[in-house]
Amino acid sequence: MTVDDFLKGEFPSLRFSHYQVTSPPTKQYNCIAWAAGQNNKWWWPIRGYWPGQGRRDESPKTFVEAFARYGYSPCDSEALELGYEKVAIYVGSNGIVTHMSRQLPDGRWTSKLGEGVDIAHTLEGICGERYGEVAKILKRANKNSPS
Amino acid sequence: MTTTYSNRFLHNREIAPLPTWQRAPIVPLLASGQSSPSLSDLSVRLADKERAMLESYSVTRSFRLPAKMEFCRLAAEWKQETYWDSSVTQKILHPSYQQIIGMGPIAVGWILQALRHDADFWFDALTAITGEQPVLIEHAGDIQAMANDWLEWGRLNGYDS
Repeated sequence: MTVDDFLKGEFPSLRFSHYQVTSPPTKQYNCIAWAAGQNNKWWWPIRGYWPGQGRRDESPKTFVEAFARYGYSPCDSEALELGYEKVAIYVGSNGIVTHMSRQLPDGRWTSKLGEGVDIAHTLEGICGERYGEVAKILKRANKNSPS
Repeated sequence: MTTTYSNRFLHNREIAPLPTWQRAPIVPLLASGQSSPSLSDLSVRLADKERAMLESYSVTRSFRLPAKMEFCRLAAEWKQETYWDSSVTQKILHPSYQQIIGMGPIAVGWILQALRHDADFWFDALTAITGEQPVLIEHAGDIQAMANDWLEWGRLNGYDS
C-alpha cells in the first residue's frame, strides 16, 4: 500500500482533488500548531499545549479565542485575499473541533494530518468522516504585506 | 440355480453384480436388549484423569491472550485508529486505550517500555494507573519532554529494564 493509497483511504475526498505531501510524519506538532505557524508542540486545549489562560474546551469558540491572540478574526470567505492570511476550523458532526488548516500564498491549504504528514490540499480535500466539515474561516492581515 | 451376489446373470439375463457395500452383512449397533447409554452414564464411566482433561479443554476453548500480548494488541489497535487525530481527547478516550488503563499496574512497565521506544500519548494512561503526574507544566505539548519526565519517574520507581 502506498502513502497515496493510505491517504485516500483515510480521506476519500482526496481522490477528487489535487494534494501534495510536503513533510514526513512526526508527533512534534499537530494541525492546530501548524495552522498557527508553529511546529514544536502539540496544541490542544485539553491535555496539550494551549496559548493563554482563556477557555479550554473543544468548541470552535475556544479556537477562535486562541487564534485571536495572533490577530485572527472570523471572516465569511475562504477565497484567497491579497494581504491576508487565513485559517480554517473543521468540526465533526457533534460540533467538536477536529482539525485546522492554514491557507498558502497560492490559495491552496496546508494541513498536518494528526501524527502523519503535512499536505497541501484544497479546502474540501480533507472533509469527510474523520475531520467533518469547515465551520469557520479566520483571517488576519499578512505580517509581511506592506501596509 | 443358486443366485449369488457375484452372479452376472439372473433368469438368463445378464445383470451387473451388486455394489460391494450391499454385499456386506448388516450388523446391529447394539446387542439385542441393550439400550443406548446416556451422557451421565458416560461421565460416570470417565476416569478422573480423563475428566480433568475434558474440563481443561473446556477452559481453554474460552481462549484469552497472555496479558502482554493483549497489551500489544490493544496498543496497536489504538495507534492505528487514532493516528490521524489531533485531538488528545479522542486519543485517550479510545476504547483500546481505556482497556489498557483497565489492565492496571501490570501495564505500567510495558507502557514505559513503549515510551522508551517511541514517545507517544501514554501520559494519561500512566496517570490514571499510578495516580502520579511527573510531567512539568512547561513541557505540556512537547511529547518527547513529557515522555522523558515519565521515563525519569520510571527510573526512580524501579522500572529501569
